[in-house]
Amino acid sequence: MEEKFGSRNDVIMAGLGGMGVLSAGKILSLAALKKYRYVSWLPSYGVEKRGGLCECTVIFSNEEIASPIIDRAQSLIIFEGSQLKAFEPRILSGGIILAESSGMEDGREARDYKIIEVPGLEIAVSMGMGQINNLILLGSYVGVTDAVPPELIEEELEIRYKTRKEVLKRNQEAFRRGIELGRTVEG
Amino acid sequence: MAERMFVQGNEAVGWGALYAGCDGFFGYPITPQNEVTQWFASEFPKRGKVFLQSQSEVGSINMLYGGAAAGFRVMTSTSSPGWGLMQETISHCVAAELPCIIVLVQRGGPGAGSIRHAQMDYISVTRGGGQGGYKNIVLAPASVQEIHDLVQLAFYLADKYRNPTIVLADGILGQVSESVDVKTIDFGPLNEKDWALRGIGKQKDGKCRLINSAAGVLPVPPYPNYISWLRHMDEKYKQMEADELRYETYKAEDAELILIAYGYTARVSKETVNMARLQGLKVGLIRPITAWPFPYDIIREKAIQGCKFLVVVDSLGLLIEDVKIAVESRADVGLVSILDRHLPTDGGMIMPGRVFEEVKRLI
Repeated sequence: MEEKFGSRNDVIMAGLGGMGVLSAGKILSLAALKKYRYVSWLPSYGVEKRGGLCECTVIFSNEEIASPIIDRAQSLIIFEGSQLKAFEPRILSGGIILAESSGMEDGREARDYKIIEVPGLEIAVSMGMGQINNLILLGSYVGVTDAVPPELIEEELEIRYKTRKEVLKRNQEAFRRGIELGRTVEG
Repeated sequence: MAERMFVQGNEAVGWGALYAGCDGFFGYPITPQNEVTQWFASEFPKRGKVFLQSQSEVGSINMLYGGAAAGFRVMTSTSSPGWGLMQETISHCVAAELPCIIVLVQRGGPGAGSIRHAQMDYISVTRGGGQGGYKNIVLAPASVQEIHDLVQLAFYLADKYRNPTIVLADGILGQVSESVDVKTIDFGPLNEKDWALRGIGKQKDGKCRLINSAAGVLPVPPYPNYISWLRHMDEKYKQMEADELRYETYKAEDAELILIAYGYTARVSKETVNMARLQGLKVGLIRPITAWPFPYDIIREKAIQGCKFLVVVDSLGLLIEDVKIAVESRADVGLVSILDRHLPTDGGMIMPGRVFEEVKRLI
């Protein structure tokens, strides 16, 4: 599978504490480690355990990663629609923003990037568990960018939830649903 | 054989210590380095090593004094407010010539400051923050791999010089996870710790050992008086300066403007150098790996060649003082500081784009 951005991928994920932003980033990082020589995952969050602003930057590359901190990324995943405006300046020209459609507000600055609205929360709730939206969004990202082979993420989920079969199943289903969504948009 | 792992900076402190043969960790949790304490709590006891959560940072550093005096490889880790509390006994460790490791994951100050990253302890770390004007080698990693590597080097240098060694990190490096080769690094042989307090029965000569931190009150053999002991300490510091200087240069060969940074801001600066080079701007980086001894000579050499300098540091300056000493008024020295963060909150960071703006202004 060819990477769309060559040998380096970077993505900023942003949302609120409790949405699984950091977990999604960590799962992606661990999957990427099987394919790329260099991986970095930089979390940023405040003192609140839940509800506070929360973001992480994930970079995976076959070249040395100069800085885990970047102004702009090739991709953004916005877990909370209302944060789109705040993070819009952090997408590179030609980049892709995947944004949770619920909570999205009007008035964004339409720059030269592609925006994909993902009704992740609605799907997650219809699947019976709002918390799995992070895997739907991560799946959409992988479906759109092909940044890592989906099976590497699935392997990571199996390791993470090896003693919790029901949780594993729900997360796998969410991830696969996300992949489908991403591929449909792309097609 | 190295094991490729995905490790958080704070956890890399633990892996480095384990592979360096550390015997005991004494620490008190403090953000943003809690994962260090957590790592040792979960990984050390099951390997038959000592983990002890102290009552405070004052307790940790005094436990280090005891463990080091008994000849063990011991360490602690803390953040800035804890660093402040440790100063008195660090000075005693230097005076008693006790090899031990203190990892400082800097956060915002002064006072309780913030619980997030910053680089605001540079002066107290590099100048000897406690009483008496002493020197400690200060290793300043800029990646998770380097935290793992330099913690190991710190143990070697501490034993080599019988002196505390400081590993100076920051909240960003503590929190970031990166891919790391985890392995033992061999720095060569060391002298046996014949001086350690192991009990008369375990000493080869069957004689008592004395360790004390008041050489002017109670002479320390083989030094007959206070000044002869101070001369010995002076020679030791000079040997550290001569033999232990470490720094990285990146695209500095033909550079007209050189960024100077350590720790996380050195990574940001490296990204900035790459951005500048893409636009054909001759920008390079000099990164102190030892914050003490400091790479004055290479910076002075570049100043004589006509280079300008830009210090990038997440404090109000501090590091710039060493750069100004190095250039001896021969060159302009600019500053990107904590006031240039991308957000006004404690989560704000110095971003490559902001540094690049300053580069374009100066070059």
